[in-house]
Amino acid sequence: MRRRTLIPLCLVPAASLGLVACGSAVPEGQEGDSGDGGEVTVTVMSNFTSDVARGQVLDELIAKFNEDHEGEYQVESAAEPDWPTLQQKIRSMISAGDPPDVFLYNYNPNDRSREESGALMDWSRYLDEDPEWKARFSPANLDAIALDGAIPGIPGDQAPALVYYHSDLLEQAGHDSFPATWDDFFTVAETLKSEGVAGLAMMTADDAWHTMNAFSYLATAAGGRDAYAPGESLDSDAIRRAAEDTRRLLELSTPDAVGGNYAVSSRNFLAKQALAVIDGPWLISSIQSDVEDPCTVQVAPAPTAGDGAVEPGYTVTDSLNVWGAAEQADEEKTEAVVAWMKYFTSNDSAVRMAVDGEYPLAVQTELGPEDAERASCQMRQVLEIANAAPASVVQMGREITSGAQAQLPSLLESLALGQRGPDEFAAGLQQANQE
Amino acid sequence: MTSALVPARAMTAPPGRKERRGGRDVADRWRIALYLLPALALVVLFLAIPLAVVFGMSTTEWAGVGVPEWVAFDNFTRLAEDPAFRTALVNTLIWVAAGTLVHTPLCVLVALVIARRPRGWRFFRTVFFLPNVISATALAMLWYFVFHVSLGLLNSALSAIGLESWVRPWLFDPSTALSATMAPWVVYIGFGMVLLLTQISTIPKELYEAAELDGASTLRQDLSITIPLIRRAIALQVLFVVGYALRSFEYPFIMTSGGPADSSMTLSLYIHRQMMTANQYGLSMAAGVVTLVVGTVLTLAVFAALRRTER
Repeated sequence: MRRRTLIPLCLVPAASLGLVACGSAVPEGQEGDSGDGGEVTVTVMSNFTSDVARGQVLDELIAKFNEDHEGEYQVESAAEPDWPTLQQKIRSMISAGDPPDVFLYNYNPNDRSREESGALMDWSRYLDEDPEWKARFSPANLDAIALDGAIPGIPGDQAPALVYYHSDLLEQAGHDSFPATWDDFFTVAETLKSEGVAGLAMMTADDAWHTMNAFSYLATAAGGRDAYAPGESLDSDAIRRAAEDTRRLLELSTPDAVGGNYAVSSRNFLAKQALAVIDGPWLISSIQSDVEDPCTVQVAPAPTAGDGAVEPGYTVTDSLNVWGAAEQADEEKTEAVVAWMKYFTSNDSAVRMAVDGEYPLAVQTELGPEDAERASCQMRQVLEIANAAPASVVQMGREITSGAQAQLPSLLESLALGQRGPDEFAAGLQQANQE
Repeated sequence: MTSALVPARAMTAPPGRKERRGGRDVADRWRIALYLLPALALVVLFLAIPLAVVFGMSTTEWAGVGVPEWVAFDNFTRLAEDPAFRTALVNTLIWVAAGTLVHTPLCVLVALVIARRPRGWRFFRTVFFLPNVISATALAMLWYFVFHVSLGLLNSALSAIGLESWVRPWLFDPSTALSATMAPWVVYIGFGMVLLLTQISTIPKELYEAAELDGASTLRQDLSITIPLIRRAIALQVLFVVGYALRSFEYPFIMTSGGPADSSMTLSLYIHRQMMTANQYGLSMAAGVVTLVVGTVLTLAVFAALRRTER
């Protein structure tokens, strides 16, 4: 009988011990990161998984760095393919007081909670100590990240969203080059629609990325670069006009644009169901693998209204992604993190990322003649357009509050379905952005 | 007066024996408590504490980083004012209704037929149960391509039989999106069927033999013997249905993302969106509390209905 009563008594501590063991946040083999004379391990958390070009390049860069610093530093990649999941994981880790050693996060001027957490390393000292390294970053980007005199992150990437189009389909519609004004584009889209081809591949699910790229270009074309700048009301003429034009674009898009996600929209473009898509350079690897004659896909800046409200050739970009790092108590580990970031943002690494990873970093990137030769036909054009851009504006979906971001799909879908007019759309967006 | 209530054996038992039995009662109680302790610890750790956290968080505003700010019941007021939440609540109740009024009767019907063991009943039992061992994510993807506007089987079939006027974007038409996301769940009746078949197999054969001797038809036997005797299993099935409806996530998430314009939004999807996209953890937890309350009310309603049928 005594044995029977002892069993549950033993089970409780055993289960507790099991749970404690399962809950350990430190992977096996990473105990004693430094201070014991051994290798210092740095974990890099990003969405650069090995199945995409940029992930393969990251793995190769890490392998080279580890080889160069054998016995001293060891960098490991912890990749999470899903961007929102990655961001939530990082938030949770910061909140728990255990941020990842190095991590990629999306900078949002409306949400500086991560920078304000006090858990992030201040890079200002290391940037000031190495002016050559500091000069590799755009001062505007460093200023944007700065908070109370500290620089809590290193600019990672800020991809330009440009027009990728099938030149053969455009020729079919009687044009040699991509339309320079939105009015001309609508004419082309209407011509193609009658032939069963959509003008622009679009989507409204998730972050409505492709649609919001078009919306941002339309809004800035109508209201200039500050059309939706932080602090500006979104219940404005520029937003109303952009909403009206976006509704037209959705009408001229594929039948699954309303409700479609990134995969659907990209697939429609790659399968030539749509003339064009406005996307980032990560699309290039899919173009290279999925389009029969990849170089028939050309890249162009987006049209303008043609009235001088914005300079032709300007670009809308993705949000600035930033490399943050955990504030370290251990100086040796801090040195390892700084060494890795300097290596990762060097010109050689940036060229490899741009050419082989199809992923330009937000640093000065000078391609040698051989690199330019090796770059894909689209990447060469992307770099040319980005370098020649007279101005750049961050995409609207990335500048609004996360509460408004969550309501974007619903707002766009109700606009497309005629449940809301442009006026109600602009008012609804403004309200969501203020909550 | 008092002594009349005391059992005679207890009154006549020798004092020493009574003390020994009293001591054994205490030991038994301790033993029972010890046996319950592991389960209790797990319930406290994985249910009571998380629930307390959910209730606590629902009264705060928190973006996932930093210190949560106490806002009392503001989140519940915001929920009441949010049209997307109201749609999600109504849609979830429609899921419950569809599960109770369409899915469960289908389960009962198929179970009654299979229980009669017609030719090939083993094959059909396996086929009906098969979707339950396939991941809901895979099934949702499959149904996405059934309902897809241009690639979908449904629209292709309608066109092939000359019903072009019926072709529509099933998933992205607000009038059909919710039904389209519910359709796979409603038609996959395998789990409920097996649950009911198990209960049917416990009914004594003699009851049916006696009914047959009395000249009762198959339908009469089902209505007067089988269904009344499996009502507890039906109630259990309804409880499962309520639970699933309150958690309904995969089908709307994969097939429509809750759209178009929130028309297929459910409570689970709303909770996910507020937490993962909007970073509004407090609001998300408040929606979780509402889900919990709805679930509790519906469960109590099922038990009340069951008690009523047993009177």
